Formats: sequence, C-alpha cells, structure tokens
Amino acid sequence: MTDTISALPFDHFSGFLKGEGIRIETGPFITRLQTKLTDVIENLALLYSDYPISTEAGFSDFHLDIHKPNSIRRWIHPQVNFTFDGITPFKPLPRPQAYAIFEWGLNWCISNYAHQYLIIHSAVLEKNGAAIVLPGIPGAGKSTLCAGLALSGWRLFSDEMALIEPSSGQLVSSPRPISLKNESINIIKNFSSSAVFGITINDTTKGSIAHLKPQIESIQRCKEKTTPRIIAFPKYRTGARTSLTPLTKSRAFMTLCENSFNYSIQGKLGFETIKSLISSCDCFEFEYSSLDEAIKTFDTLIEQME
Amino acid sequence: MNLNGASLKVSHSAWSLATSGEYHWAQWNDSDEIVLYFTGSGDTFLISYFGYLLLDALKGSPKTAEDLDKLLSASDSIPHDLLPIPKEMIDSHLFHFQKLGLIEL
Repeated sequence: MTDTISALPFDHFSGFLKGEGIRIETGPFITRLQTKLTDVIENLALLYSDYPISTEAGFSDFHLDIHKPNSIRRWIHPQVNFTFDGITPFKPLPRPQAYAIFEWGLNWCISNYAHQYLIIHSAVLEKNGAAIVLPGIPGAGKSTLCAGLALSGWRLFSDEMALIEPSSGQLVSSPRPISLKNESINIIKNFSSSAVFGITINDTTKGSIAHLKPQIESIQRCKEKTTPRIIAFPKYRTGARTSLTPLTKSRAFMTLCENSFNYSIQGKLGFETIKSLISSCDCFEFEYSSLDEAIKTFDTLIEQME
Repeated sequence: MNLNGASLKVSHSAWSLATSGEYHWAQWNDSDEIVLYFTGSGDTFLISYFGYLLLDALKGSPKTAEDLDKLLSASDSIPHDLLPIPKEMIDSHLFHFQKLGLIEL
C-alpha cells in the first residue's frame, strides 16, 4: 500500500468505495470498505486522507459495507446498516449515524477478532519512546485527554484500544480518528486551532459525537511499536484539582482485567501479558478538570523517566 | 448452610488445593495484595497476604484448619504480635476459597 487517500482524486476515491471498495490500512489492520453514502465518503476523505490505501484486490482483515437497508426504511425514517464479512451484527441505526456506525463497527471487529493481541479499552500515546496507557470507562475523560495529548506532541497509538503483543509486551499502534462526545468537542476545538473535525453526528446513544483527525506523524509512524511505561486511570471531575495518585500494581492489574476486551479469551497468556505490562509500568489514578494541567502533568512525568 | 455450620465443617476437614487447574501468581512489593489466576475456572482473584499464605500452605498434602494454624503460627510469615491467629479467620478464608473453587475437601 503506497497511495494515501489524499493522493487519489475525490471522484476516483468515491467511485472505488461505491464499487469494489477500498482497502484502508490502519496500523496492523487492513479494512476493505464499500459504501455509497456520500456523508461517509466525505468524512473518510477528510479524516483518513493520510492513511495508506489500495484500490486493488488483496488480503483484508475486515470486509465492511455501510449501506441503506433494502426496505421501506430507505425512505421512511431512513436507517443505515453495518455489514461485516456479509453478516449484519447490529440493528440498523438512524441514517445520520452512518459514519458513526463505521467507526463503532470497526472497533467491534478489532475487539472481537484481533485476539493475536491482548486488547484493553484504553487510549495509548507515546512520547520520547515511552507510552502511557489511559484505560477508562465511558465518561471518564479518556478521549478528551487523549485528544489534548495528541495535539500537544504526543504520538497517538489509539483512542480506544491498547493492543499489546503478548510475545514482546510491546504496544502496537493503530491510530484512528478520536471520537469525542458532547462538551468535549468544543473543549478540543477551543484547545487547538489545528484540530480538524469531521461532521458532528447528533442524537446518538452517546449524545453528539465528532471525530478528530489524527496528526499525520502518528499515521506515518504507525509501524513503530513502543514500550509501556505509565498506566493512568483518568477521571474527569468538574472543578477537580489535578492529582496523580499512585495505585498499587495488584489493584491496577484487576482494573485492567475489567477493562480488557479479551482477557478471558486469552487465558493464562492474558494473565502473563498483563503481569508483564504492570511490571514495566508505574500505575496511577489521575483526576483532572484542566486539560492544560493534565497535559503538563504527563509531559513532566515522561521527562522524569528519561 | 450458614457460616457457623460451615465453620464446624471446615475446622475438622482436610483441605487441598483444587485439582482442576493451576495456580499462577502475580506479586509486587508495593502492597500485600496478590493476584491469582486459576486456570481451572479462568478466574482472576485479588487475594490478601494471609489468604496467599493459606493457599501456599496447602501445597503438597491436604491439611486441616488446625494443621494450617500450627504451620502458619510456626512460620516467620506472620508477625508474632499478630499471633495467635483467630480460628474464625482461618475458617472464613477456607469457606470462601471453597466457594470460589480454589480448594476442596
């Protein structure tokens, strides 16, 4: 894969998506995507412009199709379907959520099928050769913090999933657009004038969401693995002072298990992988309300580790 | 069975580690809680240091609660100012471990 989406005239890009599909490379995964939906095509052209693609046939990990259902729902209260390898794993969503179902669906594919990795629901970023793992439940402020760090010189590995290679203990990068919700969208728009957002999708189950385009360096360096050094469980709380509190490794272990998509599938290998991960990291609980202070905290922490 | 009934039972029975799986431990020096992965159930547990000592003492041969009390009391693993070990503490741990499938009669 040598071309990027931006190297392809939009009409060609759109034509391939509407026809045989395009293979998009996001780190270790190749996704063949087909869609005729204009908003999805335009959002992809914007948010995935720097990703390697191929218009030729070849191996793909996931074959996806985002399309309108063949029913009256094409016209009345229109809906959209997500198809993966010819099956439709989810109920359809309202038509305006077509782009969201692509991102959510791809996340679902990875978390359900990429068992060559131990996968933890977490943001991962790297600076100066050391990575921070930010696991978090929805609403904990993980994505906002991730976006702030990614726009402040940190290399994005993922906003959603830490991919850990059991054999090496290293983190594998699969940078994708960062999904931000509700107030976080404006927080990041105000935080950085260089933030590029796709369309805002309203009335999802998570409220309004918009996707932040990753920095090009994160995409170009996505083959570079890194060593985890810090695990911090973030928690956003309005008015909270920035605090980084050490967390015992055994407690961190248990919380990571709860945040893992496939720990139980991995069995003993999963246990050994998390044990190794925890052993190589300092573990913290992190509470914040100021994004600037939060970024400064992690910048300082990583500098102290050098 | 209530805990008192169970207590009577566990005190006079010889316990052994469950034979349905292997025990894998993860321990760090920043706390006295220890992570246990038991392959028999695929479950992961956060175990207290005392719980760890009990399970560790069950390696090898079956032991009664009384045997365990003597073994742990004679070892250097428990500070002397914490002795004697309350009988209920051993019984409740054994009862709990049995419920988790980690030990058996």
